[in-house]
Amino acid sequence: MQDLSTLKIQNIADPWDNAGEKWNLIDGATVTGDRTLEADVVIIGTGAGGAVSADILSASGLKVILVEAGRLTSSRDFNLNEGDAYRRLYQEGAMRATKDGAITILQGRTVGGTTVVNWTSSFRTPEETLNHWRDRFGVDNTSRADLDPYFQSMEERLGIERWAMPPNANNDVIKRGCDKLGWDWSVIPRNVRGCWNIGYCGMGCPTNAKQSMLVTTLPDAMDAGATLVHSARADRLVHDGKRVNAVEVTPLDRDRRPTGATLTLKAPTVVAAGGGIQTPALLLRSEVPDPDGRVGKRTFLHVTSFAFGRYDREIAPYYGAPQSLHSDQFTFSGGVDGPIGYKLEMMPLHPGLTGALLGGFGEQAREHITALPNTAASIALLRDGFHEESPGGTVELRDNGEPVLDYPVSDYLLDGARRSLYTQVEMQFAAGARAVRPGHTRAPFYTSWAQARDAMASLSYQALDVPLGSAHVMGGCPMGDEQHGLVDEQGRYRHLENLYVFDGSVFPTSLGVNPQLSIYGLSARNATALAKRLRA
Amino acid sequence: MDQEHTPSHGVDRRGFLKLGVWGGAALAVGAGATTLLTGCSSDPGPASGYKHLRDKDITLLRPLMVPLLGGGLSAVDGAEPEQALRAFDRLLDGGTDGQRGQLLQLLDLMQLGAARWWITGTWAHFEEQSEQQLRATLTDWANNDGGFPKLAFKGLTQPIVMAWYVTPEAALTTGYPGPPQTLSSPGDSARA
Repeated sequence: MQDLSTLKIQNIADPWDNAGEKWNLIDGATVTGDRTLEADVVIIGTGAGGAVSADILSASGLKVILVEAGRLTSSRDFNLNEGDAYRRLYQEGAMRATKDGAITILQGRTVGGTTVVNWTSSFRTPEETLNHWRDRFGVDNTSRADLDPYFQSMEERLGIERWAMPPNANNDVIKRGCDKLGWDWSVIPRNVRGCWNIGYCGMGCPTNAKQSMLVTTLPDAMDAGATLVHSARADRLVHDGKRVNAVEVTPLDRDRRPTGATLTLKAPTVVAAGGGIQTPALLLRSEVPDPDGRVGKRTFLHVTSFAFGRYDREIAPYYGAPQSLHSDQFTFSGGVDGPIGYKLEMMPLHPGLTGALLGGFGEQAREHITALPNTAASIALLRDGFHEESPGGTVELRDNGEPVLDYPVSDYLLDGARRSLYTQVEMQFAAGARAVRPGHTRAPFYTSWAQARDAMASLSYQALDVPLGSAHVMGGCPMGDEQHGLVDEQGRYRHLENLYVFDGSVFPTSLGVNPQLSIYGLSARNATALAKRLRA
Repeated sequence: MDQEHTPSHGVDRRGFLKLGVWGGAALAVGAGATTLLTGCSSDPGPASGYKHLRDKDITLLRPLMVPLLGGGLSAVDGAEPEQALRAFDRLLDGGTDGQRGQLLQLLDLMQLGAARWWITGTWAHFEEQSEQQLRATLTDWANNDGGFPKLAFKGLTQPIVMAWYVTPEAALTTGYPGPPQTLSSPGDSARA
């Protein structure tokens, strides 16, 4: 039996040690009186988009202030306790869901954003996707040839390479299943250096092997003189309809309650980089000019379905690199804008999230969760946004200004979910599973593919019957030509002259791949262009 | 999601929408909007030892813990239902006001016999049901095809189960051997 519980992790170098002494760091929890700070550029958000941008802009000599709603935590805080991780590092404590409760959303809320908790899969944006953006939304100058130099430079920077070690038993399901069925599969490139292969990417990497923004671009930006204000929520952009004049920020105490102070950040250039949901919410709260009513619309999720396989051999799905193999057999098989395509990957299983995803109650749920060591979990990421019947969701504001995503689960999407469940069940039986359960509240564990295929035909596929999740929030502030885009392909907001958006919210559709490298590459390209303009 | 119910009790559509999903549900069972004004001055606030759950929530949920978690509770030495409720409260602490507000609205709604009947299929308060009856209630509820009952079942049971199994002691009862040991973890340390 695999058991890493006696493994000791210690003496890990942490770039944030003594950060308060060596860097310009402000903890919002300590800000109890009103303050105004000025810089050349204010960047709202420290995830994939904000951190890369901060690094590039700081390196060019510009004075940058980063503001982040999450608290600063780093490797020495990452204790691998699942509950602590959700409470500290995830939006809404990992309980974020779409408005009707049908889709659970995992998204980071900490310095470094989702890059601190993602599972390290790093793909360049598919050509099919970039071509679709050009043809359908008028996104020019953003072909693979345009972006490849930026992808390459970020790959080098973050140590992105195909995972060289053998996959864990969970990911090996992809290889065995796809080999047997003659389906495509390949090895996932990961942003790690010296990875211990322990499997806790989702709780904050305790060894700093994961090359998240927390240990790469952010420390470099800080070294170059950037100021980081963490535990401080950007509430609104103060603007006159033409320019943003300031960013109004609420410092938060250690319980995420306002300290009562207001922080005003002033800069001639403002970059919104809160990611999908947060950036559109900021723009909505700010009542920015938006003549076509596009802010927050077309938010996409890579809506994800699940299947659980039980194996005679031990799987230990909680240990080992969480994602190392994937299959694109069905990603674009129906054409770029046909029936919804999906990418196959595996997900790591730790007890809390597993209990939530397995659903059910009582003795049966207990029986399911106590089979955890022999359970594998596949996922299918549905490529939403490419078809007219896949308009995505809309970011709305609750009365208190918090965002909530209204994402109706359409028949088009459910058709894809249904097909993706068949695919996953077939793959897991081909990989040698003794029993497989598709993610469906009414489905049991089936004991053969033939039995499953017949029984699954009589299930109804409705929202809430099919548990769905998402770890990739994209769109809501799309780039495109004047007819389609809130921002142009360089991230310039079309209706406020000094506002830029550098994050995943600019994607006009989902991607068909895990998004981090797409956000890094595009943000690097656009921040480089911005630095050049500001230094001219 | 079924939001086609006609607003009544003098609440116009705008007010209806502001009440959210469970406010709409309250109107549909004839409870009136004031039932769900969580956070207003009449709201009792969290129970002693809890950050978010109120005494009435604990009374409501305590009887459900054993049938909901199956053997998951007794698998942890000496665990009482309160331990699962405190785990739930801790999970909720990671959330946001708006999100917790929705959940507390649902719990308020479930204090009402008519709502319990509509959502779970039984009028009786959970406290008045035997463990066997509660298992039957949960079974009926889980099999209910209505939009609100389905959402309520998922919205309530999923976080409770998750909250229980993220606790290290319950996690170890699943066969998970536990995480590696991180030495010198001071918690969320302030560095500024």
